[in-house]
Amino acid sequence: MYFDQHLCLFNIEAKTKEEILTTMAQMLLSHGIVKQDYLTGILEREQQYPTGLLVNSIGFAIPHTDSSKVNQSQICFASLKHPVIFSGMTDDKEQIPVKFIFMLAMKQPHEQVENLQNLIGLFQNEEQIKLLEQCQSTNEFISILNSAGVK
Amino acid sequence: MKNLLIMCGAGHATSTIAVSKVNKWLSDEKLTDQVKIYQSKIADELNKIDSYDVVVSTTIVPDSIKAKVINGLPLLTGVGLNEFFAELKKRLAI
Repeated sequence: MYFDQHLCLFNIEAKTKEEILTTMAQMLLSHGIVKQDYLTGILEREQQYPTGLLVNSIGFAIPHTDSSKVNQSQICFASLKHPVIFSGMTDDKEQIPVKFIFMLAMKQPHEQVENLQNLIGLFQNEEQIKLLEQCQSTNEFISILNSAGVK
Repeated sequence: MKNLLIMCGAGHATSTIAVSKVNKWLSDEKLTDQVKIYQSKIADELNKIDSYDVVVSTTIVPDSIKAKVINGLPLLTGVGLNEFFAELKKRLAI
């Protein structure tokens, strides 16, 4: 259900986190997944409470904001040609070069625990992440996520 | 009964994962009935942080409350998880 709309961008170029976050949020907006104020929410939240995560030397980010700015639950994914810098989730001095971004649109605050846990579990799975690095198609992407238990 | 606060930036995603992992640990350690977990976002908690016995955060916290807070990052990355739970157990003092 998280990937119903097939909102994936592979190997794309962006110079800053603001640029890629804007691209992704606009993609969600144009599909009616989120409300007008979602992008502002994402940018403000990322500034104040960053979402960069370094796992096994690979940078991930899971930007998200209040569920009041969301119409329906969905994840938008982007893999970057060249990493952009995000701050670390628990230390904003930590500068993390992020390669993979999972932008979460969550309709309910505490929904989908299992899906979220499995997503984080995927970050720790080096073999699957290698596949993700080479992934160029939505079908391939969804099959990697589904095999990790993220649906 | 100890009061344990688990908080993140939005009160949605990462604290939900953290709560679920801590719940599983409490259950494995047979401590479930000794700890009450509260889940929240940091902005709602800063001025009542002292009402909790222990606080775990998966987001940045201001220096003023750093001493009170355990960094919950290991619950997300899996790195340093044993040390995290050892520290949590020590602070809960149960």
